[in-house]
Amino acid sequence: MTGMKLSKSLENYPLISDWLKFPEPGRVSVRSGRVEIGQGISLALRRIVAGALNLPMAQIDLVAGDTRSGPDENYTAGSMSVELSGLALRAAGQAARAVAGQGDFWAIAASGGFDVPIRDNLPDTPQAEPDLLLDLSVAASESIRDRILGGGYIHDLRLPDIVHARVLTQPHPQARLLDLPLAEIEAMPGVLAVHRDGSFAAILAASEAEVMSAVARADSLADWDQPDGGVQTADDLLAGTAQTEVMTDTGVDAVTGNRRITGEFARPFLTHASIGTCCAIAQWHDDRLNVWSHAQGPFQLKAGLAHALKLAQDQIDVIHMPGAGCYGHNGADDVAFEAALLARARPGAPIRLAWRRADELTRGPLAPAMRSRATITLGDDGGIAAFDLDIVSAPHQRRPGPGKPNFAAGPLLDKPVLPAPASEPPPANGGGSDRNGVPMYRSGALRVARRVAYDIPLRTSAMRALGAYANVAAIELAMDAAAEETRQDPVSFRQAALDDPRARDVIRRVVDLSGFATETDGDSAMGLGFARYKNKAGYCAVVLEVMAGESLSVPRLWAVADVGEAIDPDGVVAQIEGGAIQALSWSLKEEVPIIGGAPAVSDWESYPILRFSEIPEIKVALIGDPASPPLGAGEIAQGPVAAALATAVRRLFGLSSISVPLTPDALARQII
Amino acid sequence: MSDGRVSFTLNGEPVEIEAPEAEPLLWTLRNRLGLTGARFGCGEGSCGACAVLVDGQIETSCSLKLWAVEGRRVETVEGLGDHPLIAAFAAERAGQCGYCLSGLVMRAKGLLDNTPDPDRAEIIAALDEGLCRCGAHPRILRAVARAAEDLRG
Ligand code: FES
Ligand code: FES
Repeated sequence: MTGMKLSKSLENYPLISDWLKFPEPGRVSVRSGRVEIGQGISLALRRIVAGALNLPMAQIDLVAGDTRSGPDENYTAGSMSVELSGLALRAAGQAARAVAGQGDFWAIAASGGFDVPIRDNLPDTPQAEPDLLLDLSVAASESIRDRILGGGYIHDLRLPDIVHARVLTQPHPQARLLDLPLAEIEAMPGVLAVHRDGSFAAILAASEAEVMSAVARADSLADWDQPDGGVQTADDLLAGTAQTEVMTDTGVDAVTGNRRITGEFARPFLTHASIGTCCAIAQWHDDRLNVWSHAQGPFQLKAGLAHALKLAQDQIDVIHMPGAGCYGHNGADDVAFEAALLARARPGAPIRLAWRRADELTRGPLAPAMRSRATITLGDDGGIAAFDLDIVSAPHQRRPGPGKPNFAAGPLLDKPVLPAPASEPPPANGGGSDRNGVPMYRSGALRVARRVAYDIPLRTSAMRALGAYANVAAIELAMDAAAEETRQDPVSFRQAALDDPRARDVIRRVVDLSGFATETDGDSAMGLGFARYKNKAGYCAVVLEVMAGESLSVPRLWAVADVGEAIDPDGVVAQIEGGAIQALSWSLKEEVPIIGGAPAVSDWESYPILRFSEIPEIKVALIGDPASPPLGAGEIAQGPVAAALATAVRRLFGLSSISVPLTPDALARQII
Repeated sequence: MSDGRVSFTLNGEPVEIEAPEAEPLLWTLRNRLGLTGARFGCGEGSCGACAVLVDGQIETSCSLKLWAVEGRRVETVEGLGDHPLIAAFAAERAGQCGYCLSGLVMRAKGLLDNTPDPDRAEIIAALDEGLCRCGAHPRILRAVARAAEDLRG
């Protein structure tokens, strides 16, 4: 798979000079369609190029995500960036070094010497690479320092004559704006214009303070017609899904054995809840649109905008700038479309639209609610005769792109721009709700089926780890229960069913590191979770300790991972820590309630996330062989963390079906 | 909002600014004074992305009116370029997207100014009102402890 995709990258962009430029003596500029979304990709990619060219990292700059230059590499998916972009860049660098020989990169580049195919110039024998760990830590430190002091976020970009915009809060995704007293709002201090197009409305003002006051006033004056209704559970909303898609059906059903063990894990709708809100700047001039955006896929955004605004692609440029943390398909594209609408209506000035907190929580796509049930049929020999996974989920794919004008505000316009139907990412990309639905454990028969609520009247799309979070938890719950049923130790039961030595190793190491034990004193218990992300990226095993009390807490967590060669080892550790904390936050605290068809959260009080006082002490060990190819490491922890939590809670309370978040109330309801 | 003249000390320097007195300090800092270290996260005082020190106390600048700092001492992250906290955050690689960091650094500064030798619980208590979504917490806690040690020499 990886090889095939790499070939595709190199087929579309075959030349060394497609990837590497040598703009001025001593500087190398790396072109990559990948964007930095707070996961440290730029460091890893710079390290790869520095290594391949045998240069210090400080000489390498990354120019990423600008549709005016650089390869279109689709999305920055956390798990694929280093694998694919990295491999392509490493090949380009190695070829450049081979072409240069003893010569000077810059002189050769100046004479067009790198306009040659990478494929024809790869060295036969591997070139020695410099040790770059020190470079890496210096570069990492610098980037933290710059982020703290300098900002450089899209929110900080100031262009001359910038106009500040805010959108009115739409109380419900299907609400219609009946009346907005334009004159009264336009008379407020600093207001330059009130923009209204159907049910999409925004205020433009000269200053940010003024636009915030004006939009708050506008919110209170706006008259909306909105559907009403009561609380809807995720199960209610997913219930109407009739069509079953069988994703995997292999092996033979066991002839002997009929003891069935199940593990079930459900999660509600979640929201990305980035600390900074979505923001975009758009400028319309001379029939051209410039958009500054923190979207994950600048090229896809450009294509979606062209479609939605009926423009030619070459009338639009999208320039990536960093936003606050991005954890999947958030509202970055949506806010960019909204800024573009405002810019078109007011040519000349750059329009800066920043969402407010309530917009950030509800206007972008939600993460899909889902429920996953794993059933193990035990053979008479105590082994796994059959594995069944049943998944019910909202859809994971609603990104904009060519032919897909998928933007929150589209349907609100006078001339509505309707989104393409929701879908699921294809199996080749790891699937969506069925991601990690196939366990790594050996079984006689295997069946994975999903029912996806494609027509659900809520916008849902990908969030970190997609279906892997719930599927791994369900599978591991069933594994734990099956071990207990057959009176086997949960560690050896897993080990016996794993053929891949790397899988067995991460489990063994995390058990050693943590002193994992199955006994519980009734107040605390340990849980174990394992998965290889997408069954082809990094391996990760997690043990954590859960304490009962007024609310559940997780004081300690251990993770062991094998990601092959870790290009940026400390960055991988940071990704695992961050992934673990976010997954615990989802599992212990987070839920977007749906009331009357609308996501009902508006602030940090109604959508709390894990705080400093609630995070575990975390130990992470990387055990990959540096000589084996790098494996995606960005999203490997979420599934195993959910699984470790679920199995610990099972041990503590005897639950085999767990619904998160495990708030005190929700837990009490499940125990009874 | 009526305009007025507001004077205060900003990172040790006197400033006088003419601006609507009811303007939240966050916008004055970011858009009039060009200091983008304090960041907007919620505008409601509940995330801490905009935190600054006023007379040594932590305040969320999104919910503090400009007139309220008249005659007072305001510190923002821009004043901490040479402070061991910045070096410690950098050395611990404490942060992913980094958006939350300036506010958390200010909380830590407020703590260390009064408590040179904080234990883990004191560090946690000082930072707890500040949110981080990327899960950089363990590194941030380590960075603050490291800075405290560096400051003690
Ligand atoms: S922006 Fe001030 S506390 Fe959130
Ligand atoms: S590092 Fe991203 S929010 Fe803290």
